[in-house]
Formats: sequence, structure tokens, C-alpha cells
Amino acid sequence: MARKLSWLFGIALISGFLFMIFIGSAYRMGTGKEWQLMDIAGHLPYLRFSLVADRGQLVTEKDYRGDVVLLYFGFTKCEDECPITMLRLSRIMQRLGQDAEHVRLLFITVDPENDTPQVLHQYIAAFDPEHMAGLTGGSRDLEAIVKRYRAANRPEHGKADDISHSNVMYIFDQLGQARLLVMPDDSDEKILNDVRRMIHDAS
Amino acid sequence: MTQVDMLKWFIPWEPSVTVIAVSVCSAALYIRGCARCRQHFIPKIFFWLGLISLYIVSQTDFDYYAEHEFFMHRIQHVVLHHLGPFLIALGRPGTALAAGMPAAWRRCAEKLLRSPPVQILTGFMNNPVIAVLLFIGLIVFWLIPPIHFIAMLDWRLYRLMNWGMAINGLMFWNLVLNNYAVRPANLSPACRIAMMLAVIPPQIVIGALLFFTPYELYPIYSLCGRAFGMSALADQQLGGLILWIPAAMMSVIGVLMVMGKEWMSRKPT
Repeated sequence: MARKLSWLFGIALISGFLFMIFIGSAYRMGTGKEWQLMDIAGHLPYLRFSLVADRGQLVTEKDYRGDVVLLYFGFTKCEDECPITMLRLSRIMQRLGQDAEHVRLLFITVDPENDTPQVLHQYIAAFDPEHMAGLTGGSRDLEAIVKRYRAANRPEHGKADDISHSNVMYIFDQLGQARLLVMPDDSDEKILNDVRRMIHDAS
Repeated sequence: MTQVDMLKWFIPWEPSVTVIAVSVCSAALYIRGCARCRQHFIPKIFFWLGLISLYIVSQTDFDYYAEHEFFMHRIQHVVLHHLGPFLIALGRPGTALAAGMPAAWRRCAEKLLRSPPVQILTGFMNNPVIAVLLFIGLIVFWLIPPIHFIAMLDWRLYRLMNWGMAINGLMFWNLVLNNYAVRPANLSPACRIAMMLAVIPPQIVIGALLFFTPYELYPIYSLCGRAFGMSALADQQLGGLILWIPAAMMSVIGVLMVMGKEWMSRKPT
């Protein structure tokens, strides 16, 4: 008797699980609007930080509410991914035209010892000082946001001058919800398309 | 390394109240239990090594590296799913833990364990075929690339994954290493050996698949930043090797132990 019951229970458990997967995928298909970039809505927490911007003022996520935020972790001495990403961002902002007003770019440093607000200010001036902000802060505040988005921030083992950092852009909507991830090999068109859509969905 | 750096190493990268509370509670219950009913020295050592190893891989700086390097993540899982539960199961802490509980707790726990839903659930989970399928199924499930991606990104799923691994490991190794006199876990030694052997080939196959795949299966580590700056493929291959050899090896050790125990108990006749 108990044996039969346990089998019944097992079958119920497995079919319940399959049913949930089915409902989940049906729901996703039902919304019908697929983003071109990777959709991570619901998987990463709300944007939240308290840091120092490149003009020396204290900023929090509230200063960027109402705008689409593109977030990138890096450091100014980085020679590969960071300048490539920064150039790409400034190119995208140019192509966005008028829509760029509703977009803010945040460059958060993983090397606060070297990247003072002044250094960051000079650095972003080379790319897009109008829409971009370079953020630094106390090691605790920086570690909190790095952890929040599962990014790395420590010197690579065996290399004194290289810090491991994430190579992905996080896109937050006007409410500060993490929505999309930009992979290094995603095309500019995809980013333009999805950012535009996010701006116009809200308005 | 200075002393301060050493201390920093013990600060959890992502503190989890649940993990800390459960570890501290089991440690306290075990100490109390040992004071009440004497335990042999060797099982005690096994229990403590197991508990400490589970704690170290989940609630120290180790976790940073497990999040940022695939092979470190595999080491974390070998400890959570194989080594730690294996050691705890060898320690057979059930009696001591029960003895360590206040009388009211013990009554509650006994009542809970005897209640029909729990009986049915354990009966199902302790079925040899189900136990083997669950053990392998969990490894495969979390290694499916899109699922792995989201699990490494979403902290809730990450914790669910690690908890699932540890609990499933405890259930599996407790079932196959120990000879319980009561149902539903009274499996014959032959059956328990067969179960341990059954989980070897799938782990070898998955490990080999990871090792021989010529492209990156888990881009999440490159995206979030690799801690040691090794190439993605080298990292993936090392991770595959860890599943292939040490994880599969745990079964061999378990089989030898069960065989040894059987031999010892049969010798006098």
C-alpha cells in the first residue's frame, strides 16, 4: 500500500513539475514580445547603489530614475574590453540621436585606488561626457554593487596589472529593474533596437 | 599573507543566514548529543570534517572563486554533493543529533518523521532507482547550459542549486553507505554497491563531454569575469576532469568501504 502510494506521489510530483514548465513557457510565448538581447527580467535585483560620480558629487540610483541605464564595470587602465566597450557605447549614443536623452551610461570602476573621480572624469571625457558618468566610491559600496550583479572585481592571479571584471553590459529600465544583458558579440543594431523599444514602451 | 588577510578569507562572500544557522544548530545539537550518548572517535571526526567542508565551500571567500571560475564551481559541487555528505554519512550522526535535541524537539521530529507525507516522500526518495536517477539528474539539470547561466546569475536559484546538491548528497550517501535495520532504507549491500556503481558511468560521460567540447558551453564565467584569468576552454576542461575523476572516485571509495564492512561482519561465521 505504502509502496503504491509512494509511486503515485512520485508520478504526481514529476507531472506537477512538467506542468509548471509547460505553463511557464506558454506564458512566455503568450507575451509575444521577444527582446533581441538576452532577457534576464526578474533574475537580477533592482539597481541600487551609493557612489561618488566623476564630478565629485554623491549619487544614488534615484538620480537615474526615469532613464534607461546601461551599466558597465571596468577600470581606466584596462587595455582590452573597457575602451572597446566605451567606444561602442559612444557610437551607439550618437546613433540614438534624440533618444539618447533618455539613456544614461554608468561606468563603475573596479579599481578605486587608481580611478579617482578626476581620473574617471578625464577618461569618460574621451568618450561621451554628456551621457556618461564614471562612478567610484568606498571599497564597501563598490563591493556591494559588484556582488549585486555577480561581477568580478579582484586582481587576476599572476598578473599584477590586470583586474578581472565582467565583460557584459547590464540594461536597466526606467524603474531601475534589470532587464537585458549585452554580450560582447551582440551587434550594435540589437542594442539600438532594444534600447529604443524600452524608451518608447515607457512613454 | 598577513593575519588580517587570513581573517578576511573567513568572511562569507555571500552570507546566508540559513546556511549559518543550520550549520551552527547541527554543530550544537551534535556536541550536546555526544555529551549524552558516547560516540566513537572516528565517526565524530568524519562528521566534523564533513560539516566543516560544507561550511567552507559555501560560507567563506571560496564562494567568490566558485562564482567566477567554472572549475572552482565544480570543486564546490564535488564537496557539496560528494565529499561533505559522504563524510557526514560515514559519521552516522542521526543518534547523536536526536540525543542532542531538547525532549520537546525530539518528540516533534519523531512525529514529523512518522507522519504519512514524510513517510511516503522518504519511501519514494529511498527507492534505489529513484535515488540514482535523482543523484545523476541533479548534476545534469544544473549543467544544462541555459539553466546553468541563469542559476549563476540569479542568487535565489544559485542557493537553491547548492542546497539541492547538499541535501541530495546527504540522502544518497546516507542510503548507500549505511546499513539501516529499518524500512524504508534497509537495502542489501549488493543493492547499495550497485547504486554506487550505477552513478559512475553517467558522471564519466558528462565529465568527458565537458572535457572534449571544443567550444565554450558556459559563457557566464567569461561575462562575469574569470577570477584566475585562464582561458575559457582550459577552465571548462578542468571542470570536466573534476567531474570525470574525483567525483566518480567517491563511488569507488564507497564501494570498497561497504565491501570491507561486509567482509568484517561475515568473518566470524
